[in-house]
Amino acid sequence: MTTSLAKQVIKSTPIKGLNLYSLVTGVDDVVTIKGSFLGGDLFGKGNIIVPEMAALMLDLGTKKRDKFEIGSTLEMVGARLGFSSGRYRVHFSARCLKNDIGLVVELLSEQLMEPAYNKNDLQSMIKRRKAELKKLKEDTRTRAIETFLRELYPEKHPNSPPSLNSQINALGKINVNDLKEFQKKYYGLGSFNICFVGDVDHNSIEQHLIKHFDGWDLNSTSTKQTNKKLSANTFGQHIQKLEHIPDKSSCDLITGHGIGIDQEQKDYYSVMMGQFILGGNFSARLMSTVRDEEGLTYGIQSTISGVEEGNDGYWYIWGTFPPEKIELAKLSIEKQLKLWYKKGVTANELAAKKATICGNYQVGLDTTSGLATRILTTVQRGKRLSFMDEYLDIINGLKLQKINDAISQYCNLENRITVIAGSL
Amino acid sequence: MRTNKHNFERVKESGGITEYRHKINDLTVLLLKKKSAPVVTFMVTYLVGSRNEAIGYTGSTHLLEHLMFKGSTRFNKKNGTAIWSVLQDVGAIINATTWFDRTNYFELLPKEHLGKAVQIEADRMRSAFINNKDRESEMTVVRNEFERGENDPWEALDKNIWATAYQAHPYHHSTIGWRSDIENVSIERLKKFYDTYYWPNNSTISVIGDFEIEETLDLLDKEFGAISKAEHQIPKMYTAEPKQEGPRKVIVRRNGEMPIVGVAHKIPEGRNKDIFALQILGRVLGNGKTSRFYRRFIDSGKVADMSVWSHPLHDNGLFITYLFISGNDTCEEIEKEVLEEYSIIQSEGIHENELLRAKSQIRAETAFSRDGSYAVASNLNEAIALGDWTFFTTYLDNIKKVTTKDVQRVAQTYLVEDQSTTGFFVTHSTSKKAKG
Repeated sequence: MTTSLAKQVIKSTPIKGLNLYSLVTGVDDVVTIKGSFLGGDLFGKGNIIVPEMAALMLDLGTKKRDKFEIGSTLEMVGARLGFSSGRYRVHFSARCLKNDIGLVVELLSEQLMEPAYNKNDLQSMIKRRKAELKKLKEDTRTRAIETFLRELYPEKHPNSPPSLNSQINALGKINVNDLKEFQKKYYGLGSFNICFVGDVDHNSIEQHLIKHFDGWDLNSTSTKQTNKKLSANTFGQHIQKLEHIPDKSSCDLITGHGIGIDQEQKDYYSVMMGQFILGGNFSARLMSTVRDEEGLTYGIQSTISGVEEGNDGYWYIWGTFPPEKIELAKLSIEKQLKLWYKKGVTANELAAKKATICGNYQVGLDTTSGLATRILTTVQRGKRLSFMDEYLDIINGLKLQKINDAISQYCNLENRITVIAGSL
Repeated sequence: MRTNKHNFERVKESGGITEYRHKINDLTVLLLKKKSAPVVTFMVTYLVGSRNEAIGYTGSTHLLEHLMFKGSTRFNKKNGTAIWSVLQDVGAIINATTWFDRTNYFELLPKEHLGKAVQIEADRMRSAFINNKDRESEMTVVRNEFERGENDPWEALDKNIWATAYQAHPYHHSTIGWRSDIENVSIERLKKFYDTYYWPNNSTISVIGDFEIEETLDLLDKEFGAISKAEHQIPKMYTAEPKQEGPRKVIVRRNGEMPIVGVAHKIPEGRNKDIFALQILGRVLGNGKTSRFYRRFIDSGKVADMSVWSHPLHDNGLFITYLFISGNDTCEEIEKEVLEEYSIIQSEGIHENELLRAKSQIRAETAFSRDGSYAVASNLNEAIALGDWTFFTTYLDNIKKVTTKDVQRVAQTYLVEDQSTTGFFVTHSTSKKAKG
């Protein structure tokens, strides 16, 4: 596994619209399964909560078995199988022992193809989900990021999340027919990728998939159905918002803005590396100054996000601070930001972070879960498997001047929004 | 034929893991070779945790753990060899954790850089700076970690339950400590803590992953062999919790959105054989859709989330059920239902199918716990902390021996009212409703 990861992954298309990827590792008996298909939150046209609930309800019974029978079948072999809805895709993941792959594939297909969407289960799920969303209203980080993104992007932009209140309201207006219609329209083969990593045999997995997925609807769900030609808001100045939440001893601060490009643009990796040097890990600038030297925070980082599927992404710094130190924290962050923006990053920093990212890549081979995630994110992005290896060449090929030019071009400290959530 | 250059002697083997002891300084080393990926996890576990603290210096073990990253003689910022930089610059995942019974420092890194991790851990075992300037800046970092924890209603309730359940034993205070102790503990006290516990004969090194055994023992001998063992006896923590003679209750009231109920009972120390039946009991009650609490609370929508926690510790621990209320039930009503379910198991036992399901879950989890070198190290770390690393390697065999009768017996023995501590997180709005 030291030379090419891509060459060790076996790919096939056992059924039209279903891509299978498998990778054998040295682990005994353990298998991680991860997969996805288009049909996530952004496909909800009428009621914003329908896609999420359609996915969450998948493990609450099928037309053949109730939720307890499914639970018991999995638990009797110690397997786990779960579903979630992301912005674009429905995700599923499972973990099992190698002899139970067939059983897990059978349940996976049954749960995806023939969900029960029982009325009583939906009512119970709505009750629980409402309570969880209400609880998130008191979470300082959730509130800070929600406000930040809703200010930064227009409402219909894929990077603008629905507010917690709108999700709670939407829960009160759904019924099982909404879920059934959504599942029928969007779930199916076409964009379906599934990956098996660990103690696996590709040929036998193919047979399981053919047996249980052949004949499922082939649909033409596409990200084009969701993309809106909208851009991030610009402010022309640095604006600040406060979200007051009582009885909180630590505040969350988020500051950043849109970068105007997605991850397929030529300058993306230069911007990403610039950000990584600023705040990508503990030895990056923000942690070594704002935390290590000044003791103002337990954690502070800088990240780029929202750059998938052609979306103009954003960068932001996130940190936590006691309310009484928030002004000092803002000054400290500004100092580092100005230094970074005006003077750029250094050759030594670039060399160190290139080594970090390449080493992280090798460390990521440690678990079946990490490998499955890497394969899946590569193919979801529309890349060939060889991209997993080429990624390191891209990183190693980054040039100092290009990175500093990218920082100047894509970052604008005056066109920024800062949100602080907590008891201020 | 290779002749050993190192001073390690083989002690025993269990589950593929081999224990070695250094003949001069008594350092324990555990090795597990796994060539599934070109990476290795290196970990040092010190047998010191918040159970070794007392009033005035609670949280010291954890604060000291933070100071251990501030530099040592060979690795420091001034030299351009800061610990985080040296390791993160080669792609290592590096961190440390502190809990009741132990402190561990670990590096998951490309195999060719194992030597760097060994050098750093050896150097900071006895040559860490631990100075007041660093304490001053790091104290506020740790205080923010404390504050972040306090933001979470569950964490606030959990701290209160442990503090109520334990009066004398140091499990009374959480690992992060009390705020005033974090702020005021002196550097002298922290240095004393370091000089008391950070010695080869109070630590265990684990190396898991892609490495060569003899080369690694040579390396460990070279870097750690020169460190002498402590000249003093490592102090034993002797405070035992007095017998609890009645149920205890605690209420945390704050602004918030979701009431929480925690029902805790005292259980024996981690090396007690009853621990295995208690692990099964926890799964029967709260793991998966077939579990009793899922059917009773989640399926009905009364509760949004729940967990049953019974982690084996060095000393007597707690068996705790947490429920996050989503419906209109009061904390008292939910508590009553939890106790009713306990009572059913005490009088009727569990079904054979429930036992089988729980054992299957644990069998699979045991296999999953070997997926990746860090996963092995992490599990091993907790076994070292409770006083016997083979707890990890023999766990499944011990689970296989548990019967339905054992589960009923431990429910009868430990889930009793006089050994209970119940905690409620009550939001201002729910307490107004109750009064209204």
